[in-house]
Amino acid sequence: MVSTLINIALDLNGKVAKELRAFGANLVLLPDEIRENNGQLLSMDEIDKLKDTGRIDDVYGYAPYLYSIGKIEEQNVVIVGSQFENIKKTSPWWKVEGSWNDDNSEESTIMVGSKVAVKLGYKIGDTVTLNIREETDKKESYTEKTDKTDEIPVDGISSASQSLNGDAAKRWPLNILSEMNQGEYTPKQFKLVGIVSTGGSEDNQVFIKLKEAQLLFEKKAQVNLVQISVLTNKNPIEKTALQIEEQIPGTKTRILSQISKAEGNIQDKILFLMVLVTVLTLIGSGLSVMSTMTTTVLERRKEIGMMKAIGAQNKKIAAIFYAEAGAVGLIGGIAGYILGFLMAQIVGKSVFDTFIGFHLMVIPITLISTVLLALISSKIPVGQAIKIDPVITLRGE
Amino acid sequence: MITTMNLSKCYNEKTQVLDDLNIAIKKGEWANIMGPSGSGKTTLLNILSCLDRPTDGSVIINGTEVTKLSQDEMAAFRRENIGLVFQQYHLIPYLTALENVMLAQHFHSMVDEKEAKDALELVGLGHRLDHIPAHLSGGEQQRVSIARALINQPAIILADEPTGNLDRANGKIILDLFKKLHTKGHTIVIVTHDPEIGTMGDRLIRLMDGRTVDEKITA
Ligand SMILES: Nc1ncnc2c1ncn2[C@@H]1O[C@H](COP(=O)(O)OP(=O)(O)OP(=O)(O)O)[C@@H](O)[C@H]1O
Ligand SMILES: [Mg+2]
Repeated sequence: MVSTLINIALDLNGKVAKELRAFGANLVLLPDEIRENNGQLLSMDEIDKLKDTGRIDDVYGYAPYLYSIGKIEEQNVVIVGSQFENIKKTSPWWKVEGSWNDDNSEESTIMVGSKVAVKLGYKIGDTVTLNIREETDKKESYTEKTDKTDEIPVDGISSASQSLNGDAAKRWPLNILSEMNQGEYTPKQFKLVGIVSTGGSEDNQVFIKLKEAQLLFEKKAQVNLVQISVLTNKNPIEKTALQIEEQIPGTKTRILSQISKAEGNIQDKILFLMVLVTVLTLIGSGLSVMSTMTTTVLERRKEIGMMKAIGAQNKKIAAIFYAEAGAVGLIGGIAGYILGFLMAQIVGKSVFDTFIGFHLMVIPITLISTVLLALISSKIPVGQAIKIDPVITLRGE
Repeated sequence: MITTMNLSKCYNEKTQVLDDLNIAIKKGEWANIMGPSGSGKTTLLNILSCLDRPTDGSVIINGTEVTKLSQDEMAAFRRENIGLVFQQYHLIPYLTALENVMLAQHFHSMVDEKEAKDALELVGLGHRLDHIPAHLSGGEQQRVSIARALINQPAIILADEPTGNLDRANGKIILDLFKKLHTKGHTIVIVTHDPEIGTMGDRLIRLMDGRTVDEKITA
């Protein structure tokens, strides 16, 4: 039990932080209202400023996203262009069967969401023909923001991506959109390298390399939004968000606040709970060792009386019982460690969906603490053993 | 060797178990203590073996006034000078005969397996070294306990009804052992109900209601 808790506790800090980050990046960078109304996106040059840690601290990772829509075998899908090395950082929970798109390769590769793959019966290695919507098509009205889209000057800017842009932080990522039979489509072949499952809307999307997407969607060096992972332990996320807005003019940020606030809090609470459980467990096992040792002393009071009668020193009698308690503690510790390690794995698997790491330190900590616990809990029973009066116990029948 | 002066023991105001006892046992002597049940024999022996303290009076053993010693000093004195044999043997049930003897060595100083084996040889149990008490007869168990009492070469051996739980044949073996120890020069005090043993020692002390009613030299 103790071993389980120590094992988990040691792993907890990193795990919870990762777990919470797994809810998604905690900040989204978007074009501001003015740009939005002009249909202007973010440029890669602007995004690169995020790397500039001299001016913007606490950015842990970021991934740019460019969206469009297309069809695969008459099914409407959202096409996402991104940098996959970065997604690995901002969204570490993605499970990819097969391999990721290689950001640097020249090959046209695609990863599809697991639901898309199931629906269309795709396997890794298949060739996927993606019909990409012509970006010059100006009259689109399939989104909720029809009225707004209509007002926008539209040269070269798709209303589809426009609407994605504006509402993305709220609704992102998108599901397969409703019927969109209007417009023209250009077919393009991709090699399917990976199947993405996240349990979220990514399962309904398809993913291609950002550079290729920018080319195909005719959005050279532009993206709709950037997902940012910001560390919150040093500065409040609001501060970092403001800093970013200042450093990159023409942008606004949206904080996905429930995550970042929770991060510090939950960790403290879980740790406190674990410490509490550990302490209670220690007290409980201490009491049980104590009662076991008391029983032992009572059962052997005649032996103890005899030992004292033949001249045994108190410390030698005490040593016998402490040695016994220590041995029990050690055996209990070893058994407890093995059980605890397995338990930690089960807890880790079911709660965090990952295995708890192996900490070498847990072995000595567990063994020393169980032996110490056994010795300390034996103090009172051993005291009783020493007080036994041989005159009385030897007389007993 | 063992002298008591005005020895009294009261458990409470009403029960006076020993009443003004004056006993003197010489070095190398074999003294038997007899008396009816409840006459205070065990109480006396406990005081002589430094397990218990008298209410009044003093005990001098080997020149030491043991009644003035502290608890720890009494234990140390016991360790060095006195070997105890009990009616109920009091062996540790999960230790072998050899280990039971070696335990006494451990409390005294250091264990010496060879010496412990020799002691068991002496009581005729050289072939039962690795038996636990449950696998030994009562007589054999008592012989182990005698070996344990002897192992640290005490000058005095005190025994409370050592044959009380044994049949005649086994009792005789034990008695022969005591005779052997007697000839080796140990001072021996035995509490007994057995009139036959009573005639064996050098001296017989009869107790009645905590007083010496008769003391005679039998040898
Ligand atoms: N702890 C005690 N408290 C009160 N009375 C006690 C205590 N121990 C012994 N006695 C009393 O002291 C008296 C003498 O006891 P003791 O055991 O010395 O007798 P004994 O001669 O050895 O008897 P037996 O032959 O039955 O062994 C008894 O009446 C006994 O009830
Ligand atoms: Mg008695």
